[in-house]
Amino acid sequence: MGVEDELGALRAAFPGCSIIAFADLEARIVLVSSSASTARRDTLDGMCSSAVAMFAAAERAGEHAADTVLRSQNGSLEVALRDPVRRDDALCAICAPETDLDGYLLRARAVLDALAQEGGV
Amino acid sequence: MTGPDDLLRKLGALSEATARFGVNGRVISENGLPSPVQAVLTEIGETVLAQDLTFHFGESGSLTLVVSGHRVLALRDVQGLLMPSVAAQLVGKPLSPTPDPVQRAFLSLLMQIDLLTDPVEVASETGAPFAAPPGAGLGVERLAALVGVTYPVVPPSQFDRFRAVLQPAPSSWLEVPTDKDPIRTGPAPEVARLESVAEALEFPSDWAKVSPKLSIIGHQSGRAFFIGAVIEKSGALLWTIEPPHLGAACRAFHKMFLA
Repeated sequence: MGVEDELGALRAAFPGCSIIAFADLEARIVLVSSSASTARRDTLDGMCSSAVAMFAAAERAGEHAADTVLRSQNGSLEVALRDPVRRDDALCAICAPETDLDGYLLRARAVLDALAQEGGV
Repeated sequence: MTGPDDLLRKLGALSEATARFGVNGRVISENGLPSPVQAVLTEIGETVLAQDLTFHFGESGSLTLVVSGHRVLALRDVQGLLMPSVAAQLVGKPLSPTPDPVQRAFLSLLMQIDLLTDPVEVASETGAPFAAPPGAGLGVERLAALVGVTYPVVPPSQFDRFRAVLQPAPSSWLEVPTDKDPIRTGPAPEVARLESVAEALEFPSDWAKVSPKLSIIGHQSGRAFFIGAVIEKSGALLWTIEPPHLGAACRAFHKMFLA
């Protein structure tokens, strides 16, 4: 299954997630995404910037090993997971507040692990 | 003064005089009595007889009150409803008519009970247990009145209300209201960790710049998530939570403040 299919399957499992994107946090660019409708480039860029800012905040708090961050405001939930080894590889998502967040984190972590094992994209 | 036998007789008569709902085959609520709890406490109030009343909530929660003359004198025991450190604040301490930490914790407990939807069972030392159906209408104000506490002694803050809906109750909690000193609850090492995170993040002022109104931000450290919430005009708070309760906390925040 390709990356796009992996992301599509993940999004299908969690309909509350409107966009799921595989991103390179250092370059701050979304490499592959799956969305309910065509995602605007500034939305995707914003997801990267938001993830970078959230991980930076965790590191300021001394949590350098933090590999999951979230932020919820304005009626949406932003979630980002990064690979513990390839730390620039991240899975970012924008979800509805009603999303099964704990379930999503488990599945998303498995998808990210699988992508990492495949050597990223 | 009414003795235990009289009390038992009264409770028995009350049971016979009331209708049965379909839940667990037994319930008391009729003849103008607004709730089973009201009915029992009315009886207790007439006896002026000190005794324990135990409320069971769902499968694991229970609250045992020392009652006399339609007033709660103290809390004998609390199980499954509060984190142990808060329960320790309450158990065995007399309830004061003036606002204090015990009263505050008790009000938090009442609000938590108010939000439960499980059947409520009530048992006295002398009467057979019986059950109220879900949604019996045990509003917090009514419950507070039943146990002799003027409600609200201290108007519950948004923090109080939010904390009351968090399940399980946070094991540690750092509250930074805009209008008073921070409130810290929980084991010292955990609270120290929260304060460390808060200081590093310039909490809450730094977050307020990013999100001046309502938001949650969090990161995972090991199994635990450090979750911070900024609540407009009220301040901010920080607590830890572990999966699989993260989603419920976020949903509660949205439901309470954004819905």
